[in-house]
Amino acid sequence: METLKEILAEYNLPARARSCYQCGACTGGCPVGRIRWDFNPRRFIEMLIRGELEDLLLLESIWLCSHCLTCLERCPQQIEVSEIIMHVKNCAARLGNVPENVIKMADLIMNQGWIDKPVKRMLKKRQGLGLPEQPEGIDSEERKALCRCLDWSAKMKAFKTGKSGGADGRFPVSNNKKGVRERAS
Amino acid sequence: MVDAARHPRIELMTYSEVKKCEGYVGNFHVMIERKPRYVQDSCNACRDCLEVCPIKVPSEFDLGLVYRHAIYQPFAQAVPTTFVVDMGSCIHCYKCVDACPMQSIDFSQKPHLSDVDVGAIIVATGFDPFDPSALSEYGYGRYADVISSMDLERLLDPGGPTKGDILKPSDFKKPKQVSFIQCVGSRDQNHNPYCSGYCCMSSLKTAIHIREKFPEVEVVIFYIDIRTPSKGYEEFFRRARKSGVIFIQGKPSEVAPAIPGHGLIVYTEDRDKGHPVEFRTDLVVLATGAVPSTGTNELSSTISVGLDENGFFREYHPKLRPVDSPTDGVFFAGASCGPKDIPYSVAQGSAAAARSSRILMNDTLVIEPIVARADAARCRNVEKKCGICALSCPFGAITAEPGKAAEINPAKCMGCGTCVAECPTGAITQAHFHDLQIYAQIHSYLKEGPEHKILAFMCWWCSYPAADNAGVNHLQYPASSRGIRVMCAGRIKRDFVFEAFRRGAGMVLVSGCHSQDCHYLTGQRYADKRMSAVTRRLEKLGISPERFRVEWISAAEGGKYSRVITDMDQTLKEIGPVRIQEENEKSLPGLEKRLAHVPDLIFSKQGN
Repeated sequence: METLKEILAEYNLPARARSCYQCGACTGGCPVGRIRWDFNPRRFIEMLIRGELEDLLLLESIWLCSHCLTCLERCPQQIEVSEIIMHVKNCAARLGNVPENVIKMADLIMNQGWIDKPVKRMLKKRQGLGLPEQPEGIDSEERKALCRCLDWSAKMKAFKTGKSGGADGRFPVSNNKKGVRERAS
Repeated sequence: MVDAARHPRIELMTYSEVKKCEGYVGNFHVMIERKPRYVQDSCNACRDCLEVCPIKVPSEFDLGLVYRHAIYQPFAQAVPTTFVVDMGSCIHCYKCVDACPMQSIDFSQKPHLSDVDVGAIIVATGFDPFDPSALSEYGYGRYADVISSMDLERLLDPGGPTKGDILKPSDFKKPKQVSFIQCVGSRDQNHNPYCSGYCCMSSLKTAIHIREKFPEVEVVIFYIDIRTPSKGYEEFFRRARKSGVIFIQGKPSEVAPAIPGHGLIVYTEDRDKGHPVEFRTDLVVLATGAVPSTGTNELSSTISVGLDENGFFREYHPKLRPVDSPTDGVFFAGASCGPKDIPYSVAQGSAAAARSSRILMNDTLVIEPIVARADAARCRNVEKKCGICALSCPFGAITAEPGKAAEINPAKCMGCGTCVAECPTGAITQAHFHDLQIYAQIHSYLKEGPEHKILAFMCWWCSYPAADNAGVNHLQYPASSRGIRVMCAGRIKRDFVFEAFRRGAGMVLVSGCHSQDCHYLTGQRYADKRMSAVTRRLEKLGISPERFRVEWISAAEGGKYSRVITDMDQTLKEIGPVRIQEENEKSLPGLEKRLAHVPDLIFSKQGN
């Protein structure tokens, strides 16, 4: 059974965040944070340092990071905030705690090669630039190969069952964890 | 400065540069280049030349806020008051020559060198303000209304370009709101990792100044931490709060222009609110820290005094000898060895003066007798290029010119003994810590039952006092250890460790100061490198690595010392004398071969 501790040990997250002195330069410059106040990179780092990991992994807002790396650019202590958030997301995913919309997005990419179909205005723009009408996306053969490599269908299933198991926002309950372990083995 | 210039026993050499510095404490020969001013000392600063000079360039003193002429006085209180011609911008129209009523202007002046003999040197080269344009997100240099704290000082100076009125550089109107951004370039791993120390107080001072002089102007300080540790500083912070300065915790991430005519926007997180805020302001002041002054690098090689990792001069010891340089007779004052505020600089300046007068008062100088001596007959440098000793000396006491034997200046030698241990031919010896003395100590300690003993090599300043500390604090540790005290871990030769094992020692400990605390600057680092080589060699010889330990223990770490010894004693018992004797026998031929030059000091007398 993969435990939270084991997963975190692999990424060594708190150690990478410890030199933070909580100046807030990451949050001040964050383009997502300006729109959604619950997305506060400084607060995430603080939670990591203080060991409030379980609470952090339960936050839905960590999935809002756009990985623009402004935080890294502005951080006076050279903490890779964006990368740490990416790892936190990975941890959360391995424990089966992924918001529904993110799963849907991933599913769309794997099945179609894109999230949104291009709108009319974009098609016009493409025409003007001399590009083909439809963006190619990922080739269907490639997508299939990727799905096989990642064991996608099993993963999707686990996520979906996990979602129903941990619907109240609590940490993944047993059946969900089982799914995670099966994938790992 | 005027007082210093008038003092009969002080000679000021302004506009000069140290070109060469030789000698040692009490006997320095310094060559100084006096740069030409192109104006003779007869100049009475009547300013007639300024009226005719056609050239205008941004004034360095007023940080480019106003212009100066090509012939100018750097600032109103400059000592001496003599004007100077800036050859970089002068077009040689010679109008000033005709205008000068004193006939002082002389374009034929050349730089000349003057030699001085001095007993002590005080380095007080100060600092330069950090250039905030390196932090492009704050837009210094891009937006006119983003200024540095030094710019603001000039604006607030009654004799400055605005006669003390605070104006926005963009439209020369009074700002309604002024924002200070603290820690610009300081405490920042991308720029200067250190805290510049004075910026908090300097911003508080200017903030109070603005609030008291222009009560209608709102002042906000964005800070990470306000640091007010010295006497009266916290009270000053309280006064700033009482005067109505607003403090917002959070390092601003960005400064961007608002819609035209509406000033600037500071993007930051308000930590007390816990979310990002956009703060509209009229004037942004960047509290810039200190960087080493221009030319520090060149000066450091001229006077052969090292720099620290931030480019400031390195003191002999950051806590215990903060005024002394590693070179005897050279002292530091003020910000030359790190950013400082005024009280600290004054204290250090006075201390440097006292330290140097201690040298100057005496006709002769008494030094410690533990210096190193080089034997010219055995020095390898005569035949081929070596100079290892000169490289290893952090005090520049050794000269090893090609083809000549290395020479050690006893006045400069501090007696760490690193060169003695580094010398490949054993040509250098240290008085009072001769190799034979240390071998004799090793031999007598290991005369009886060596396989039950831990032989500990300890440095004078940290590890031995740590053992003392353990004793003073009544910390128990096994009685199996025997300590040999040397001046520095850098003195501990490879052969000392090998000899201890040849004589059958159960365990060997090499200990010294922590790297940053080494009392001889680099001795610990040499020891560390050397001992890791010893560890590898011992393994090859067949001695188990647990039997040789290297630990860095500071004078306060008595607990650590007792822990290390207890731990080692336990390991010693676990390995057991049988295995130790086996290992020793196995490694003996290799050790004998290596240690053929070491005489049998005690053992032969005792007939062992």
